[in-house]
Amino acid sequence: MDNAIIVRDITKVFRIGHNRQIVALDNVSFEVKEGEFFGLLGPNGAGKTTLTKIISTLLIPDSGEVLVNGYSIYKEPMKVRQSIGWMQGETGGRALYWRLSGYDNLKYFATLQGVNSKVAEIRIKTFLKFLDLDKDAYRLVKDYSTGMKIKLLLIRALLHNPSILILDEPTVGLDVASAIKIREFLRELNEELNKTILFTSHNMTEVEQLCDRIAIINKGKIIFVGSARQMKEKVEKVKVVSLKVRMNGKTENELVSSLMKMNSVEKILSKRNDEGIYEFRIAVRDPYETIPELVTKLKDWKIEAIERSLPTLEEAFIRILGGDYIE
Amino acid sequence: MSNTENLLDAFRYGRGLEKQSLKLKIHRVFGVVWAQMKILLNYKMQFFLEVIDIILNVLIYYFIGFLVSGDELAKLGYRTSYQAFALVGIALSRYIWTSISRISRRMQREISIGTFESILVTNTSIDLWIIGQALFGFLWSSLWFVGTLVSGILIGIPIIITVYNLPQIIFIVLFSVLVHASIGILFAAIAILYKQIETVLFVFSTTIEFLGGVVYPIAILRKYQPLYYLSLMIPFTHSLELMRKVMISGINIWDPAASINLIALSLFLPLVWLSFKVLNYYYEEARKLGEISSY
Repeated sequence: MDNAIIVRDITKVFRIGHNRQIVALDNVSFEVKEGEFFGLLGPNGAGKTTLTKIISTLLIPDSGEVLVNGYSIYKEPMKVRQSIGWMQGETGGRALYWRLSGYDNLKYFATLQGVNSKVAEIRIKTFLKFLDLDKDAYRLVKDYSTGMKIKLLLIRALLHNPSILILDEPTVGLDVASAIKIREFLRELNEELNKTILFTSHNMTEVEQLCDRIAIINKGKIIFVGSARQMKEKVEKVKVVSLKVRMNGKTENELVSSLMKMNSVEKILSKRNDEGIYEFRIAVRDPYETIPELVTKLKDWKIEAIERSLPTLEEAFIRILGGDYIE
Repeated sequence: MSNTENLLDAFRYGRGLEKQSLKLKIHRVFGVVWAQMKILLNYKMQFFLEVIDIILNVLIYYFIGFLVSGDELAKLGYRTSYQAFALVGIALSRYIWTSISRISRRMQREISIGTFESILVTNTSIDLWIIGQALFGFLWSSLWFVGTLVSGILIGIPIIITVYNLPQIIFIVLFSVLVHASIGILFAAIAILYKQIETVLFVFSTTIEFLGGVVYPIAILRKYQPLYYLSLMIPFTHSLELMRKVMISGINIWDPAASINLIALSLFLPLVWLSFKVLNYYYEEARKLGEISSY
C-alpha cells in the first residue's frame, strides 16, 4: 500500500514579538497510507492544526518535507490542493457564506475547485440528499443549524473528488444524532469510496470507532503512532482480565478461593456486585493463559462475560501524554 | 441503487473533466463575480442605500453648482457648468475608490468570516480570485457610474455621450480601472500581512480624490505648485482629465490635448505586473509566518 501523505522532519517555529518564539512542530515525521483512516490526537496547542495547515499548503514549514499523493507542498501546491479536501476546525459552521444558500455555497466552491458545472450539479444534489440537506438546499446558510453547516462543510470538501480528506475536529459542537450521522458518512467515505482520511478530534470514542491508526502529538512532537489497541497496550502496566459471574447460590469467598488457586492469577484488583452478578478485575501474568483456565475451572459457575481488560483510550491518551507508559 | 452507489456514481461521472484550461480559469473568475453579486443582492438594504447614495451625491453637487459660475470654469479651460464638471468627477471617483479598496476589504472580510483559507486550499490561485474580485468591483461600480450619469442627465446636467465617444468612455473606464485595481492589489498584498489597513486606505483615497480634482479643477492648484505637481503624479488625475475632456468638452481621445493624459496614465501600467508580484511575495510571507487567517 502506498503512502497518501508523507510528513518528514517538519519543524515550524512561530516568532512572537521580538524575542519570543514558540516551537509549534519539532521534527515531526509520520506517514498516512492510502485508504487509511488516520487520527491525529493531542491536547489544545499541541500542533495539530499547524500540522494540518502545513499539509493543506496554507502554511510553509521552516524545514522538512511533506508529500501528498507524491506531490511536494513546496513545488506543486496546486496539485496538493487538488488531491485534498480540507475542512477547517473550530468554526462551529463558520467559514461559509451565510448570505448565500447552502446550494450556492457549494456551487461557488465547486467552481473554485474547477469542477465542471454539470458535474458539480450532480455531485451537489447527490451529497445534499445523502446527508438529508436536500430540502434545505435553497435556504440561506444563516438559517442553518450547526449540524447542517458542518454537513455543508463536509460536502464542500468533497466536491472535487479528492482522494484525501483532512478534517480538523469535524464533529465538535454537534449533538449526538448529528455526530453519529457524520461518523457514519465518514466511515462510508473511507470504507466504500477508499478515501484516505486524516482526522483530528478530542472525542476518544469517535477516534476509537473510526481510526485505523492514531498519532499523538504533544508540544510539537509526535510521541506515539499506532493502532488504538497498541496505544492501550503501551500504557498497560498490569495485565488485567475482567470476569463477570452470576453467583448461582455459591458464595463470594468460594469464588475468590477458586481464583487464587489458579497459576496465572496474581491478584484480585477489584470486585463489584451488581444485583447478583459479580464483576472481578484480576491481575494476571498472561491473559491468554488465564482466560482458557478460567473457562475450565469455573465450568460450574454461570459466567456472564470474560475478557481481557485494557485501559480506555482516554486513559491511554492521558498516560502517554504524561510520559507514564512502558517503552 | 443504494446511497453509497449514488455517491460513487456522482464521483465517477466527473472523472477526467477537471482540466486546467483557460476556459476553466475564466469560469472561476466569473464564479467569484457571481457569488459576490448574489451576496450583495441578499443584503437588500445595502443595495437600496447605494441607490439613495447616488441620488444624494448628484443632488448635492447640483445645488453647489449654483454657487460656482461657468465663467470661472471657462477660465480654467472647461466650457461647461459646474454640475457637469462635478458629475463626471463623482461618477469616476466611485470606480477608483472601489478599484483601490474593494480587494483588500473583501480579503479582510473573508478572513474574518473564515472563508479565506477555504478559498486558498482550492485549486484556484489567489491571482484568479483577486481578478474575480476586481471584475466584480468594476461591474458594480459601472452600475454606480451609469446610475450617476443617468441621474445627472435626468435633472438636466449637460454631458456628451454619443455613439462616437461611448467606446472612448468605456476605454477610459477600463484603462483607469486596470491601473487603479493594481493599486488596490498592492493594498491587498499589504493587508494579507499587516491586516488593518482601513485607515491607510481612507487617507490614501481621500488624498487622491482631493489632489485628483473630483470636485474642482486641478488648475486651481497651480497657485500651490508642490500640490499641483503632486496631483500630476497621481493616475486618477489623468483618468479624470481624460474623461472630462471626452464627456464635457467633446475632445477625441487621440487629440493631443487628451492623449497627453492617456500617455501619462499608460506610465502607470507596469503597476499591474508589479502588483501581482508584490501580492505573491506577501502571500508567501503570510504562509511562512502563519498570518493568513489572523485578523
